[in-house]
Amino acid sequence: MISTGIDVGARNVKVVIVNDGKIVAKIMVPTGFDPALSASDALRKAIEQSGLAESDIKQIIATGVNAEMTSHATGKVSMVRAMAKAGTYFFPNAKTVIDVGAEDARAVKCDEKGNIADFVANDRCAAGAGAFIEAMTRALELNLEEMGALSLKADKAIPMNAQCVIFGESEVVTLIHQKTPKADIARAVYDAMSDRISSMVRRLGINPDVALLGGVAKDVGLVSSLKSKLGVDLLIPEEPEFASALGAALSSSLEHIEDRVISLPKVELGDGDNGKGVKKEYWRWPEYRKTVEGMDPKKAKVITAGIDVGSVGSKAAVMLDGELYTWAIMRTGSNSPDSARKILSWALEGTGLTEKDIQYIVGTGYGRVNVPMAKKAITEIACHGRGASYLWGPKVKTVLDVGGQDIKAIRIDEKGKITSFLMNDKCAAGTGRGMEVIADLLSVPIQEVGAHSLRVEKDPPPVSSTCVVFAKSEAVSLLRKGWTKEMVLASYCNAMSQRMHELLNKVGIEPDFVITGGQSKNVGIVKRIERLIGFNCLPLPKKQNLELDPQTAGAIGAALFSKALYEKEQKA
Amino acid sequence: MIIHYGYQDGSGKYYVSIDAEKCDACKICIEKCPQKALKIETVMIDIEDKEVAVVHEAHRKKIQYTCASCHQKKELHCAIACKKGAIAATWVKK
Repeated sequence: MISTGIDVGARNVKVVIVNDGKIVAKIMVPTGFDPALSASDALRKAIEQSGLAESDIKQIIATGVNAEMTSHATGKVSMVRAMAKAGTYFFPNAKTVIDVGAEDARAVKCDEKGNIADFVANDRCAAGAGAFIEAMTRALELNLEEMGALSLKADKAIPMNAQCVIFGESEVVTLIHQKTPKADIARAVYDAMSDRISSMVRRLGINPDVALLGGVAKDVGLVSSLKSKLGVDLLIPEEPEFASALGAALSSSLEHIEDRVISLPKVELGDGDNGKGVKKEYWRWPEYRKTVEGMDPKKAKVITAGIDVGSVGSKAAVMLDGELYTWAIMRTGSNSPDSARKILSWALEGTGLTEKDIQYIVGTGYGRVNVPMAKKAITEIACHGRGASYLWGPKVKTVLDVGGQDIKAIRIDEKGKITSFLMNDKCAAGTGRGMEVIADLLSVPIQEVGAHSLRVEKDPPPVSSTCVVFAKSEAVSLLRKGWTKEMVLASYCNAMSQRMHELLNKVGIEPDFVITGGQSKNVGIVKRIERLIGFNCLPLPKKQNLELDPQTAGAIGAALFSKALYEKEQKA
Repeated sequence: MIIHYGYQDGSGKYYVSIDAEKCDACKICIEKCPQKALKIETVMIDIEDKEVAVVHEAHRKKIQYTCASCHQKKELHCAIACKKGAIAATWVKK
């Protein structure tokens, strides 16, 4: 009996042909831009390799995220089922099968026949999936083999905060600039990932015979880290990357045989867009500084400053007796203390003031503990609450801060005191960084994303996944279907707004409502959130006809705390 | 001030919420948590610092797994143990 399995995955298409229980062909090709074409190509190559005729192939069972994209399949099987089959084919005693794919991961508990008893899948968030390692190799400028081998030479286990693929990259870049040895970084990447995978596996309970399948099982760095996290040895077959396709082939049963001849078109796969020349950076937003005219720092009794070193942008605000005087905003560099120094000196440029004239400085934001001239570090939640109260006045009750790498929903009372808050910094969906990734993918300048997204007659349904990694592949497939960029942006902004709305619901939304952070400037988000909550955000604040910037709310709040703390110090 | 620890991603909503004003840092929740996911930390309420129970950083991004066993048994040790009623949880799987 001849059966064929095909796994049309996120990165690669794998085909395995099994003849009377023996593997007669194994082929892997990249999924590329057109999964259907790549699937046909892989099937044709596999048939060639097997020495069989096309007419011998009667059953093709498909699996994988793009399984429905191939028209050749006679049946479909879930990845969980395919993995259970493959796991018990290789290791009849294996009761737990772990599969780590490019964009998802799963663990299956099964009996000796490969029947599933229980399973847990991580298919809504790319954390813990192969894409994580892949992104980190790019940041480390290593290839996969080098990174795995290097990680085994690590001396130190350093913790990594990022779980999300999108954030991991920036964390690795920061570690490189801190001169952390690459070996230690590589190990940290594997530890973060295996921590996530083992948390998932532990939910099923760990039996001694654990099989690890999927291409990631070839990565010595991950295998070593996962072994120590799980505390058991791992069973790994040769060529674990073909397990899914093999499992699919083994899932076919005689009952389903259709008498059909499969004809495969000859295909020419293009090279894709190699992006010749210098790539334009669509995510780049303008850096600037402003000073309020007609204010005299020489007459001020108290001069304070707030420095907000965010994950993406650094902001500084200087206040004279608690009134905003000057501010600046620029991209955060790889070194927080440098970014803090640069942004403050830029804010002070042309004012005649120097750092010494400032009586108290508070640091806030992601890099707040690394602001060398700050007397105190205060969380960005407190600073954004206070800053929003200053910018829009004490009527503000609900603040949504959309930062580069996190979203904060904050409730404040009429005194500007925080009554409840939440911060979502685990997932890049809905954050400024997520928006930058999509802007870059679609080649639309970041400042124009909102306006473009509103140029649709009717809002298309939101992209189904909020994970940026998945949304990116979804956006590509929507473009392939003929959607315009505007429609894709509308769909993405729609999904982001819904996510922000859900977070806001957790703390409760009460007017007056405002948005701070970079996304407050994205009309595509603002309009959609207003639609969802049923009332409008307060308009952008002004001071003497000068437009104030909600992205600086954190720095302003920090400068106000500086004043309060300075006065408290003077009294004591 | 209620602090919500946890997150929401494509798979659901997972939060542990601690009221920092009600919490008196008695540490009973820390002893009762089977996952050792709680600890005492200084949190700023307005401009005053206060010692309160918080969720450990290492667990904030994997509450979905950390708190799964308690939610399955419908027995939230931390919330039951807290005499001040300062701890609550949200658990919604999609």
